[in-house]
Amino acid sequence: MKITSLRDAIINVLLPIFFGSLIYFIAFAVDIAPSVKNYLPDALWAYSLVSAILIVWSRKIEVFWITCIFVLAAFFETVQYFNLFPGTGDVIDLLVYFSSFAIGILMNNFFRKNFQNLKPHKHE
Amino acid sequence: MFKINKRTDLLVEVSFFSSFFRSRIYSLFIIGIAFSISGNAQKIICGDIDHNGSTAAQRFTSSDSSQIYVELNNGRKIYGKSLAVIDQNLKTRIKIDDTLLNIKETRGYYANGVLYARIGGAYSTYAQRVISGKINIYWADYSNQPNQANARNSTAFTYAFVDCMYYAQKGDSAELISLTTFKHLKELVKDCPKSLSMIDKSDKEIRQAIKNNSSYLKEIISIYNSDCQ
Repeated sequence: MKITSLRDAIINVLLPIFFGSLIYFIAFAVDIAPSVKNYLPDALWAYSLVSAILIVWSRKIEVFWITCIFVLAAFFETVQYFNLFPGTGDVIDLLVYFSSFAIGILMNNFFRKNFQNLKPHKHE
Repeated sequence: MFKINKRTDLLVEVSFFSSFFRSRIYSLFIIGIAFSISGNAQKIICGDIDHNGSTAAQRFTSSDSSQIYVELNNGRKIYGKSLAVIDQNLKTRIKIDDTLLNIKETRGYYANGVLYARIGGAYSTYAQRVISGKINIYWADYSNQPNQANARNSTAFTYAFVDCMYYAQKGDSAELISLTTFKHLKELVKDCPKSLSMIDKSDKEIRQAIKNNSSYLKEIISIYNSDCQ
């Protein structure tokens, strides 16, 4: 793997997961706003997921795979809501996921230019 | 012009298929891992522990001044016959008779049989005690009510996002700590085997138990508070 992609993966995949996990595990002992405690780890998870997909595809937006993660996020929240799968189905979680996916996609050009040294796609 | 022999053909084909599949396999792997770990958030959501009433700005009066008091940070209690919690310009104050105090000067207040404790930090507000005992459970609601005016027909409409939080306190003078997941609750009751057996289950089983019995989590804590009986 290229050094540039590795740095991209560390910043946009590993660090968000690390901070999300940190918030999740220290939430018990530290006074953090409920919204942050409940939703920021999920937002960071979603951002790292969309970033991982984008990095695998060298920061080209593959519509099929990006659509997959949107559809799967909606599917899993639905099955959690009906207790068919472990977790707590929550519509705000879904909004948070979609917003984080969108942020990852919107930031794609920036990271593509700085880490992949490639020109942005015209359709972006 | 060079000759492409069979070996080169094979290498080109293998190379093509491996690059064709590589990104797809990586993508499938990433998605599989991501969604398999995402379902493990065992959150305690609003309503999982029975509570009544509201912690919004309130007023209390009583003819008996022993029924209403504010406890300051130094432990001193100020008794009175009327108490009001006032939210004004993002600041919360508490007024007992004619004395106006900043919320951060207080530890909590007691009004007509119900105890309220201050939740500290930047989000100072009061949480209502809903369960008393070795483990006290408090509940506070956080309501965000954005307003939006519709310019076309001059109708203002509001929508509210209501979030509520539970807090646990092990001992009356201990710090309140937030109770957000089943794992936190399990940690609290781990020295009571009976309570532990009720919470030491999969998220799906606990959710089903709560669905069948809305007081399920309350019972876990009540058993702990009753010396594990």
